[in-house]
Parts: sequence; structure tokens; C-alpha cells
Amino acid sequence: MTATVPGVRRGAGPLPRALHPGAWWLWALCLAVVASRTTNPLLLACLIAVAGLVVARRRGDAPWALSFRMYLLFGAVIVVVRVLFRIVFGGGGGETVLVNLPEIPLPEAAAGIRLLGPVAAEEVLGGAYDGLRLAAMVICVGAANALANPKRLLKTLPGALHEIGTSVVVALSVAPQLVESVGRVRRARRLRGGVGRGRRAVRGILIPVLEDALSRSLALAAAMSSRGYGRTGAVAGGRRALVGTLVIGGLLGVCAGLYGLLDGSAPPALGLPLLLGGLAVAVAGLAAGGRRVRRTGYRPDRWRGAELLTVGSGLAAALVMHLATEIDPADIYPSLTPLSWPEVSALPLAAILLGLLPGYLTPPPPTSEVPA
Amino acid sequence: MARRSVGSAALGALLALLAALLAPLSPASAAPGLARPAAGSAGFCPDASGVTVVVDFRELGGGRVVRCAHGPQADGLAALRNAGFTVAGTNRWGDAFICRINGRPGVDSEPCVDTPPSTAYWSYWHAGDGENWTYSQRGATYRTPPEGSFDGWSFSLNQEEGSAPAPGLAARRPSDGGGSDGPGGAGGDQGGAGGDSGGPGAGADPGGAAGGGSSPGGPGDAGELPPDAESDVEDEEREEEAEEEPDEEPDEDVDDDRSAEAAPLPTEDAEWSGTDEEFEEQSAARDDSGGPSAGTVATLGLLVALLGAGGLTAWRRRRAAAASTAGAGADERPADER
Repeated sequence: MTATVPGVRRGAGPLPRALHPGAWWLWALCLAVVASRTTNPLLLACLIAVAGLVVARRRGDAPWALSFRMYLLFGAVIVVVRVLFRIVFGGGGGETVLVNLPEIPLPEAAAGIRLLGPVAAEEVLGGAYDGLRLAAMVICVGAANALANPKRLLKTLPGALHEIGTSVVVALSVAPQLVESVGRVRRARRLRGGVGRGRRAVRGILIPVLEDALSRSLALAAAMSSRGYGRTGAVAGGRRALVGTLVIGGLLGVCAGLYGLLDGSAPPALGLPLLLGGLAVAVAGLAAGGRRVRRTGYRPDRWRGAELLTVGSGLAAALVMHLATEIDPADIYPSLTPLSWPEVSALPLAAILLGLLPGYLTPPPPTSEVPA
Repeated sequence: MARRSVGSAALGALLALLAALLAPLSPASAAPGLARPAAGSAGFCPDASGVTVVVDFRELGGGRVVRCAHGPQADGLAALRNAGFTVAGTNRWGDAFICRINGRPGVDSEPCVDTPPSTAYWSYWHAGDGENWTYSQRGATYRTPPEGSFDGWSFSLNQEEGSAPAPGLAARRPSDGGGSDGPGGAGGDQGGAGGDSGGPGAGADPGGAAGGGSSPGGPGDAGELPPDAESDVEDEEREEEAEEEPDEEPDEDVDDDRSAEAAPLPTEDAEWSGTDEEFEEQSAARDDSGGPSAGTVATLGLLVALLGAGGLTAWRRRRAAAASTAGAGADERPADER
């Protein structure tokens, strides 16, 4: 079989298997934290390249695994839009004027807004640096999306989130089903000799697809209710409300804490303490709620060495980056006035390269194009 | 594969753009860095043509620097630059939000990416000759300082909102003897000419710190304490009226004949200096060689290697996938991707 990952000889490395999706998500979020802490374009470009290389080596063959290039395009759009906004609305100006565009005069009431006018290198680069940072964070999330299997991730949801997980699974499977359904209906039309174009063709496709979606949903609902989904069981209403409050409040705390951790300018009290507090409350809620749902898992994903290594490399990258901002922040936020080449020091670069480890040290993904 | 290469091509194009942007600029950016100390002159402006810029570094552990931007100034930022200060804005807002003056605050405390927090920022003040400092209601890029007036920059560190310290020097040209005796009559006269905009209290304050500067151990506070902090609050409420500053016309002719015999740099050591020695030393120590350093070039090489490895892996995987689907049977999945 030739379709294994290049660079890994069969029989030499570990057996192909998919990693725990949570490990990929934690790794990617750590890389996003690293990206949020710098505006150095070289570091950010290296980070994007590292994420891309790991995705290229370790993605599966499922439809979501092919979504990474969309995130790359999205990142490019972010950068271009930022730069265009700087050019159109004159983001503060600068001393090194590249082009003198004709300025559109505005009334006095719009003082502070400038349309076009001189384009300075400082503002263009400022926009590019800023956009590149956001693009890098988005691409990190895209890497997690490409690497982690969302269905297996949902399988690891705690029991208390059972109902939410069920609805998310149903919602997640709608889009691929619709795409597949459209393809099927079009193929059937072609076989019947239907060559119509335009509105009539759309109607000819749309109605069968909708009908197909409806009948599939009904079949899914029937299958789920026959397996006992949706029953509330013998749990008192007050207890359910308590569990819900704990879980929702805790998750909100986790969100706010993550925001505080990601945003470097947020007060420190908003970061780690809130994250840990929210996590504790959420775990308490989940533990209380999980007791009423008894589940068994079929072939559960386990945390083994490769998963720990993946998470560890992400955490190490974030930690080293944090250390670098403490020790030598000058190269992490390159100066635009006076303009200078972005310098790169060893520590942040080492942090980013740590993120590359899972691409080489984890087992390769199973490939589906194995002929029967 | 086409889209994948579009993505990496976009990245490459971006980097090429970056390189192309920076390559012609680096010599140009080094040149103003060297030429900048020549801009403006040290000390107060000798006459009413020009804007005196007072930068108060005391909250950052420095002194006060007074320099003059000669001639009419387009805005407060231009005055600051033309007086010979090095200014850095934020990445997000450009120079519209001034983040560093002469490299301070340093990168270790302020990354200058987004708007600086209200607990540590450069506050912008203005005053006519002999008036109280007024906290500007407009940004430095949207306010045109009148000729002969004063622009003040004072770093506000851990202050309550609305109580930023004023620059700790009286805004008065030292044409009447360095402001050492500070005749209250003269200050009062000029304040009176300006209508109700400037408080006459500034004129009565003898040659010392006007405004509520609460500087711990600054080099300037040798005995005279600033007036109470309430005057600051009042000033800020009156700022809308003070914006126009119609008072520089009357005292122009008065100052012109005085400045002829006045020395430009009186009492420089005690309260202020004309040059920022600390910054001059730092910029002299930095080598402005231009062009990327070896580390930058090495990182670019590493980046190209990473991108190449990623692109090659993706290409080989796609080719292998295409080959295996073709081998498994062409009729199984017709025309999905092609």
C-alpha cells in the first residue's frame, strides 16, 4: 500500500491511529496563545508554517480534514482586509510615505477620519502585522479542525452534556449529508437525461434534497427514540436546575478566563484564577449531572503517550513564549517607528518549533483509501 | 492541490511584499534616526514663533525635557517631532495614539500594539504663554497648537481617571529672567488678555510646577509644591473654552523685544534640560546598520524550509490519494472533486 504518510516506512514506526481529538485541540489552542503574544511577522509566519506542516503530515482523509486550506485563504483575506482598511481610512499615518493617493475631502464634522491620502509604510505594516496575528490564531483553530475528528470529540463529552452532545451530533452530520444528497440527486438527474439549467434545474434538485433531508431526520429521530434518547429519567426538577446552573456558570467562567488569558492587556485577575474557578464549578456540575446518566463507551479514545506528547509540546511552546515575553520582549513586538527589520531571538523561535514535534513523533493517521 | 498552492502562494506573496516594502526603507529609516537630533532646538522657544514642547519623564524615572519646534506647527504630533523628539505610535492606531516618546516607556512594560491602558499613558497638555496647563480634549493629531504656545506631554502612571499629572513646569517663556522671580503681575496680565481661558493662578505661582504633579523625588521640586489637585479638575471642565486660545496675539510684540537680551537656556540644570541624554546615549549605542540581521535571514530560511516541507508533504499525499482512488475503481466516485 503506497498511500501511507510519506516519511514513515511501514513497519518501522508505530501503527497508524487517530489521536485523541482533545489532544489536537489543546495543542492548537496553545499555539493560538503563542500567536496572540507576538506581532513579529517572522514568528507568526513560522507558526503558520509549523501548523501547516503538522496538518499536512497528520490529517486524516475525512471531509473536515480538507478544510485547512480554507482557513489559510481566510487568513490571507484577514491580512488583506486589514491592510486595505489602513490604506482607505489612513490608520494614523507615518513618516515613510510610499504612495500619495488623492485624499477625498470630508466635512469638518468628520474630523479624525481621513479617506485615502498618503499611504505610509508604517500603517501598511502595522495593519499587516496585526492582521497576521489574527490570521495565525484563526489558522491554529483551523489546524485543530482539520486534525481532530469532531464526532470522536463529541463522544468524549461528559455525561451531563449528553443532550447537548446529541443535538450537536445531529447538527454536525447535516452538512455532509446535504452535500452528499445534492450529489446523489444530480447524478440521478443526469442519468435520467435531465439537462435543464437555471431556475428549473434548481427546483428539480432542491425539492428532492429537502424531501430527502426530512425523511432522514424522521428516520434518525425514530432510531434515537427507540434507543432511549431524550428521556429525562427520574430526576427531580430542582436538581436538574442546579446542575444546569453549575455547568452553564462554570463554562461561562471558563470562557471569560480563556479570554483573559489570551488578551495580554486584560487584568491578571481575569485570566488564570477565573479560568480555574470556572473549571472547578463546571466540573462539579458535570460530576453531579453525570451521575444520573449511565453510559458505556464503544472503543473509547484513550490518552496514551502520543496524546500526552502532543499536549505537552503545545504547553511547552506556550510556556517558553511566556518566558520570552518576560525576558526579552523587544523582538516579540517589533517597532514600526523607526521602521526596522523584525529581529528574531532564539527563545520565541524555539517555542514555535516545539509545536512541530507532534508532526513527527506521533503515530501517522489511518488512511481510508485502502482498497478492499 | 491548486487551492493549497494558492494558500502557500498567498503566504509567500505576503512575505515577498513585506521584504519588498522593507528593503528600500531600511536605509531611509536609518537616515532620519540620525538626522533627528538636529530638529528643533534645546530649551524654550526664544520668541513667539514656534511651539515649546515640554516632555515630563518624571513618572518614568527621568527628568523634564524642554525643546522648541520653530515656526508654525501643523499639529501636536508635528510639534513633538519637529522639536526633536522620537515618537512611536501603536501598531493599531499608528501615530494617532502616541505610545512612546524617546523610547519610553520601554518594550518591557508597554508593547505598543493596542491603545495603552489608562493607568500608563502619555497625557497631552497645552497652554498659552503664562497660562495654566490644560488637558487636551483632542488628540495630538487633531489639534493645531498656536504659535508661541506650549505643548506638554506628561506620563500618567497609576493615576485615577481624570487626574493625570500636568507637566511640572510653568508654561512661560523665560524672557523675563528665567522665571525665577516670576512676577505675578505679568502672568496675570497675559491671563487676562486670554479672557477666561487660562487661570490667573498660574501666573501667581512663582516659577515652579503648575498643575497637580505628584512626582516622588523628581529633580525639580526643590521646595515649591504644586497647587492643590482641585485646580486640575476645574481646568478639565473648562477645557472646551480653552481650546481656541486667542491670547497669543497680544503678547507677541511684548515678547519679541524681551527675547533679544534673554539667554535661551536659563536655569537649565535645576528643573529641566534641553536634551534627553539618556536617550541620546541609547540611540548612539544602537547600530543603525540597516538591512536585515543574520538572525532575520536565518529565520527566513527556516520559514522557507518549513513551507517547502509542508507543501511537499501535502502534494505527495494528494498524489497518493488520487492514485489509490484511481486504482480502486474509476466508477466508484465520479466527478466529485474534478
